[in-house]
Amino acid sequence: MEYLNGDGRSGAAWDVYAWYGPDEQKLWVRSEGGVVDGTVDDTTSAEALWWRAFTPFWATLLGLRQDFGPGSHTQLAVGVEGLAPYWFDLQATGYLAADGRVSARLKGSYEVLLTNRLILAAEAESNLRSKANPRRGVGAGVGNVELALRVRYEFVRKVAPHVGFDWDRALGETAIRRRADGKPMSEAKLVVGARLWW
Amino acid sequence: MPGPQLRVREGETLTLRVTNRLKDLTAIHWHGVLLESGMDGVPGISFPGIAPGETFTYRFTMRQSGTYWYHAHTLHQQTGLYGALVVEPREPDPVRVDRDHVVLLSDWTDEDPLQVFLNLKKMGGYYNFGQPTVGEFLEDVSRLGLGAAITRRHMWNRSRMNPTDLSDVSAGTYTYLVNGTTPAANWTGLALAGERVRLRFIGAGTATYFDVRIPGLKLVVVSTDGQRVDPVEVDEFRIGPGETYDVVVQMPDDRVYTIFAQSMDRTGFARGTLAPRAGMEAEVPRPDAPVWLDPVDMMGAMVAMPGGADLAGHGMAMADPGPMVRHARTEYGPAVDMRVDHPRLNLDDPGVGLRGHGRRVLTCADLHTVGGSLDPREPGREIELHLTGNMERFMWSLDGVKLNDAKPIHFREGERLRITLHNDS
Repeated sequence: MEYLNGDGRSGAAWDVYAWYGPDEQKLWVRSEGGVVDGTVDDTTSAEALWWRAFTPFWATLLGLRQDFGPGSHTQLAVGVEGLAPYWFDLQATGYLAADGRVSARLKGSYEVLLTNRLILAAEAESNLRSKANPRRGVGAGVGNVELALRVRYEFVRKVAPHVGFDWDRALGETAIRRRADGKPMSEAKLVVGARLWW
Repeated sequence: MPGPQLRVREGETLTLRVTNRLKDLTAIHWHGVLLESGMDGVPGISFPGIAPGETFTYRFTMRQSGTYWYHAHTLHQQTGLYGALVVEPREPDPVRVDRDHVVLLSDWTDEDPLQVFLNLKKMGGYYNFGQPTVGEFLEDVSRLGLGAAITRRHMWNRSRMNPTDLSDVSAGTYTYLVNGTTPAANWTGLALAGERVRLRFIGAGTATYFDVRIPGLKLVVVSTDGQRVDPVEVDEFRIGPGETYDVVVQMPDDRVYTIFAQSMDRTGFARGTLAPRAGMEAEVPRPDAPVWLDPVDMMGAMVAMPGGADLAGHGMAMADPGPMVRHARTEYGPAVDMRVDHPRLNLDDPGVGLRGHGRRVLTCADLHTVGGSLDPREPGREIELHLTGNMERFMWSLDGVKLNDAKPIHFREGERLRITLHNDS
């Protein structure tokens, strides 16, 4: 959960995971998004997924994704997530909408222990689409790449305040559309928040 | 806590009426004691357990002598339901001592024990605050060079294992106890100059291996898990959960000595004192510096890991990889993160953190039953079992099958059976 500020805009954002079930398969819920200047950000989504372990470090995902904001729709989600060698957390999910458009979201993250309590977390994300969605201002192809850095301090494991920096760069057709709309190619935000879990 | 020390004599029939005044089902298991199944006290296996308000009567005849213990076979074990069971031999004890003390080592957390487990399910390293940091990497770079610093971490990072994963639970939540007493409160056993004192060590911790020594005194190990062994003199020994060791010390003088039991991960220690009178204390050592697991601690000469870690150059027994084991088909699945193909016996290995530090450490190779094997028959049947797990998901199993999913292994009454346990975790 965090407060963000940049390019004259401010708001709140979240990245939430929840799961329920035994070791081999679980109901997985993940949601990311934000409310910026009083409106729901168009990157906001929530997913309900059937998580099933298929190797010691990897699991398959199957379920539904619901987007929020203008031009939003419901999509079928199919993906994998797991821990790669060298401790990279990876998630790759493909989406199929009712109108046949296909998209994908790729996410990778890595943690660096500055000390055992002061931890630098880096995350990269990219979104790809088969077709443009003008109402959401995105084009076909690789739409963006987003880098996030967070430094958190684990006072206790479950309560860790953080500061960080987000940088999001539009690419390809999406970048062209944004330029045409007079929007910036890239956005940078400072964030203050906390990682909480239980 | 701990529960009362039970002292009985071999051949006696014990009747123990246990009333459950707790809110949950409980059970007391007599650890290491030969008795009929219905008296063994394992809920769901040998009896249904003791419901709240109910009284269960245990009755059995002691066919052994030595140091044993009892403990709840439920989460109550972690909230103090355990104690010593000392059985005097029917014949005069061949180990002659002037004094006899039980030294029961355990771990205590203020957290709900179930919460400890749930934390580990979500984060295997929850209690490990000694994980490798950037600073240590940079130190290694300046000390060993970049290449060697990377090589040192390569096998661990590639296989997604942690070289500091020495204990699931640490002093981050545990206080280590001697006979239920904190290090500050300093449990003291009386011992006068010239006396021979038997210390009956019991490993009653939930998740703690202790490395025990008494600086200034030699420890003569005379018995383990209730079985007498040919006496062996050491400076230090490692005791795991459920184990017992009888140790005889000869008090050279009227000075005071510290019983020092550091946890295997070196995050803390239990401490007691041997002294000619109460209220004295000796110097308490600091825990040794923690060391990384050696690749050979995790595996045999060669190993198969997801990610296919190639251990050439890491294993120390490459020249003689030893016999190949048989892995059950069930070991190949999401529940198992490592399999050892060519295990080592390690009987003469003191273990991680105890190698080459100058103290004489007890190893399994030092332990010989007095008078030889109790049953000279050759085994008529052999069973191979693999202890398996997945640290990231905190799943533990035999042959990749968790207890809840496992089928019983059938033994025949009176049969001589060899069970070989391979630790693949």
